Amino acid sequence: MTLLPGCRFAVAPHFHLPGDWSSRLLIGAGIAEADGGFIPRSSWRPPTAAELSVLVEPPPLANLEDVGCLFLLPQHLRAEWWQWLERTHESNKAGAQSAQAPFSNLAQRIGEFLAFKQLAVPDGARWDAVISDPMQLLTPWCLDGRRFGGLRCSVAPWASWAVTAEPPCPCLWGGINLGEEPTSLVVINLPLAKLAAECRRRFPERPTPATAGELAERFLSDCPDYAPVRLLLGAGEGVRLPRGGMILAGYPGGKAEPEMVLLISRGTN
Amino acid sequence: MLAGPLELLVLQPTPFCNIDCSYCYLPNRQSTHRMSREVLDQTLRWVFASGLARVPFVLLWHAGEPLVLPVGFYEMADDLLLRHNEIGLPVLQSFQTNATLLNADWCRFFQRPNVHLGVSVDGPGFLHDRCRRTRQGQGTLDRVLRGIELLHEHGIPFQVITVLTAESLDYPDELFDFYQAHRISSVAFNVEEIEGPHTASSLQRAGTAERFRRFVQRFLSLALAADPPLQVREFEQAAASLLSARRHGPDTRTQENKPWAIVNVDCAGNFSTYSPELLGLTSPRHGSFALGNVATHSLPAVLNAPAFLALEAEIGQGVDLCRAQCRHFPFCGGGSPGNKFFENGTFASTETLCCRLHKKVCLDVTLELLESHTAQAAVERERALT
Repeated sequence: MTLLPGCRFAVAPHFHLPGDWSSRLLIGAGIAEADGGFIPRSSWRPPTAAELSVLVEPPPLANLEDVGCLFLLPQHLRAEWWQWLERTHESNKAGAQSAQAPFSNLAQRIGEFLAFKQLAVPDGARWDAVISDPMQLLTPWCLDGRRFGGLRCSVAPWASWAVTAEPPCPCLWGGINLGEEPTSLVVINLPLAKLAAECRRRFPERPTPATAGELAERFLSDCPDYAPVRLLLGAGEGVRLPRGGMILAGYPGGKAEPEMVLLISRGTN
Repeated sequence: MLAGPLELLVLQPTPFCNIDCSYCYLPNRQSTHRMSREVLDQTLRWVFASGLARVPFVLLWHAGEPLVLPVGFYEMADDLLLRHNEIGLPVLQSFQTNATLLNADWCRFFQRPNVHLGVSVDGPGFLHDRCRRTRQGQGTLDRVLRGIELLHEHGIPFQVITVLTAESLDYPDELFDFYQAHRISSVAFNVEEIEGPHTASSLQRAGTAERFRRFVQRFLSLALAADPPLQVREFEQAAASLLSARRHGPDTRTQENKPWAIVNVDCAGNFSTYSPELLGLTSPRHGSFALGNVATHSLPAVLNAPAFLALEAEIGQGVDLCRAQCRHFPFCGGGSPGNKFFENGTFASTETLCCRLHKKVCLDVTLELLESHTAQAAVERERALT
């Protein structure tokens, strides 16, 4: 199925990222159901020029909030993550967990960096370093990774999909690839409101689900032909998700090292 | 008038530069003229005969790419310097280079004592290669990095000068990472100035002062927290100015606005004083800023010439205006005459882009850092006592 216009991606202002979009995006062949969850089918191809124009927001960026903004963490902060990991590992081995350097220090420095770049993380955001087995097909990019089972919505599943732009609505703000290998993210390029519109268009007789979680499930089950998009994230690269929520999951795609992602969410306190 | 003493002798071995930076102020950088042995000999004779050379000074090879000339030229210069420097004044030779022509021969030359090397590099490729390009429009960073690697291999210390444009101000972290990755331990920032043929700067845009302040704050916080800390010329100079009382006397002026503290000599032997950028340029009111030629004009003759007296009077007025109007004057000593002339059309003027950004912001941010450090130290001392 042709990609519908929806969420677009761009390099965040005040950042420089290597590579071009045609080597950063891949188009999938639809969605399959497996073990009670939804996964992208395994074939991927480069985007056509028409698809790139649907997926990429050309500069200058008019409304940043509606765009998925790519950014790159500087090397010194990435090095700090590895130092923290090493110190934590050492102190765990020594059985002195209380001596761990607080992760909040690193989170604060990343927050200061992003604020300098005018890509500020919301006050009170939650920072989760998630380390996953790279052999998994998908890894969590959602608020509650413990109940992870495939493509999920970036917004709290119990929240009303219609009010996702409101600040109190808990949702994933974005994430950063902390590993030294590239990884990727699989997304459905439609904000929740457009998911609802597409569900209504296909099955006008059925009532639209009330919550974001139900809507995501409905879309994935009703529109298995819709092409997921794979966004490649190099080492240290991150993405601030567009306002309005989207369906997504991490996709390590053949990595050798553990998947390490820093997930930042808002409105979870 | 007791002129000098000479602090900085800027010699232009050639106006030619093998690259073509978009912000360059040199009007004749395509000219392949070279300073002859005769002119060099006359220059050094002139300098030591003038009476200006009374204290140790720096001989800076600049205003064109000095490494365009062969190593032999500078070995010859060494011999001539030794011959004319009869009183044995310590002279530090400094080379400001784009590093693209560095090779093992140059490295061996730079290993000798009393040589200082400055390398011009503007950071990662997306910043450096925007402005620092060849005449064919190709970026030069790869060649610069090969040069820097050679310097490391030969154990030659160097300082980096980075020109900040409006684009650079978004990237303090990326610049810091670049310096760390290439083992650069000493950095100086210049701002993209309005000088000579470079008549507009990207830093003239509205809102630049605040962006510049945020850049300096962030870069200094990273540089000072590094282990070992990265040396930043702007911080060290501003801290020295703030902590010293040298500059609050009424007669205090800076190297650049004090007559004959700097002597600039081009490859034909024409000389000037004050800002090096003035040499080679003319103005309808002042005529040529070159005040004479080392072959034909003695210093006493020039000191009484109307051209110099008019220049000194106007530059002096400018310093007086700075003293009267600017709260930063005690720590600055008055701005650069070159910048004043190119931006304001007269030396008898005050604030320039360079003042607003390079001087004032750096002083203010450094003062904030020193004050916060002092306050933090006091809290820690109090805590230790209780």
